[in-house]
Amino acid sequence: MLRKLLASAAIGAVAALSFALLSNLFDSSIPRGQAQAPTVKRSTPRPLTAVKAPPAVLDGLISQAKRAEVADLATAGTAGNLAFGRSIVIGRSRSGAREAAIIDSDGHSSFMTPAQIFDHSPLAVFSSQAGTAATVRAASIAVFLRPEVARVAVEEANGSTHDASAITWPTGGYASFTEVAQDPSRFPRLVRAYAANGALLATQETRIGPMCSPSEASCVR
Amino acid sequence: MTLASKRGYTWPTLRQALLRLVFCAVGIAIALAATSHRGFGVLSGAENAYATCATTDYWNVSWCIYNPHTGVTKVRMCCSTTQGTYTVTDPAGYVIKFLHTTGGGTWISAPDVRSGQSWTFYQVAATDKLGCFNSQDVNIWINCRRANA
Repeated sequence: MLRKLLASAAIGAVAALSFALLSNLFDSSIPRGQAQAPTVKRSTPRPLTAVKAPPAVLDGLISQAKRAEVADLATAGTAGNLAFGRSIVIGRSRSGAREAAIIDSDGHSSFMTPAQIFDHSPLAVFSSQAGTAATVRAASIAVFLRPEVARVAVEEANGSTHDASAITWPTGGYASFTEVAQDPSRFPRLVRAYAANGALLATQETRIGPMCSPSEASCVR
Repeated sequence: MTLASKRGYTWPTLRQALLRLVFCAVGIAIALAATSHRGFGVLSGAENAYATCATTDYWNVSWCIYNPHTGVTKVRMCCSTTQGTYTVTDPAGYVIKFLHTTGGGTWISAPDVRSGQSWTFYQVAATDKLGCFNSQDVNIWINCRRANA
């Protein structure tokens, strides 16, 4: 009986050791830069009341959703405050397809299908900014991710990078998030999307910054 | 004997040539009309038309080639404080910006949009301006419109 018990323990120990060795072997076969690719932090959509926008803007969006026959509205990204905020609202069309709209403090986009959002890329970044043509006081981004994106990183103007936390849509596997920054050193500069194996899928510049070229003081007529 | 028959042209040949001429003229007229009213970026390589941005009843902010980092705005339409803005750009798929500024030129917001999309602005003051801005590094044909919503 004791011999059987010892044999079982030995087999278990050998199996555990083999597993550990094999795991280590597989890990070392992945390039160093990709080995530590965490997956994007995901959460679920929040109620429509989570949108950071004045009531007039939110009411207008709801009216537009009714006219466009988009139902089941939910918040899939929100940042900032009522004075300068950016949110994403998702809904479902009559055909069941997902649609999304971007909401700022002073207005909102029309509802867009994924085909309209993504332009041959798994990553779509829509930015906005406030200030003047020559200086930026506040900046925001609305980011949309296709299902193949496992992780997304945002590089700021100061060179630092942080992983973003996205909200997964109820169907289709899409995800989205928004960010707002008032400190120029923290304005988003680049957004990078990675696959589950750590491979870089897409990079997109936010193009946030002074819009007039130095040679043209006033570039808006 | 007519001049055509003297030179060996027959009536069916002349008629065919005339028909081709008419079709060609109609084609050019349609192309010009499309460009001036609901135009697309058929002149993407042309010189800057910034100084000569035109408007129509429909594209009432502007329709022209925008140089990189230039924009055109117009004071809000009378009289609603809710204004819709709509754009069509050349077919390259570039993102451009809608502009909502104060009369003094402060940018309230400048959201990115793709061709064919619209945006609704709320609480637009009587002196506020709405328009379009080319935030890209290439010339883009932009047709821009604002209207009461």
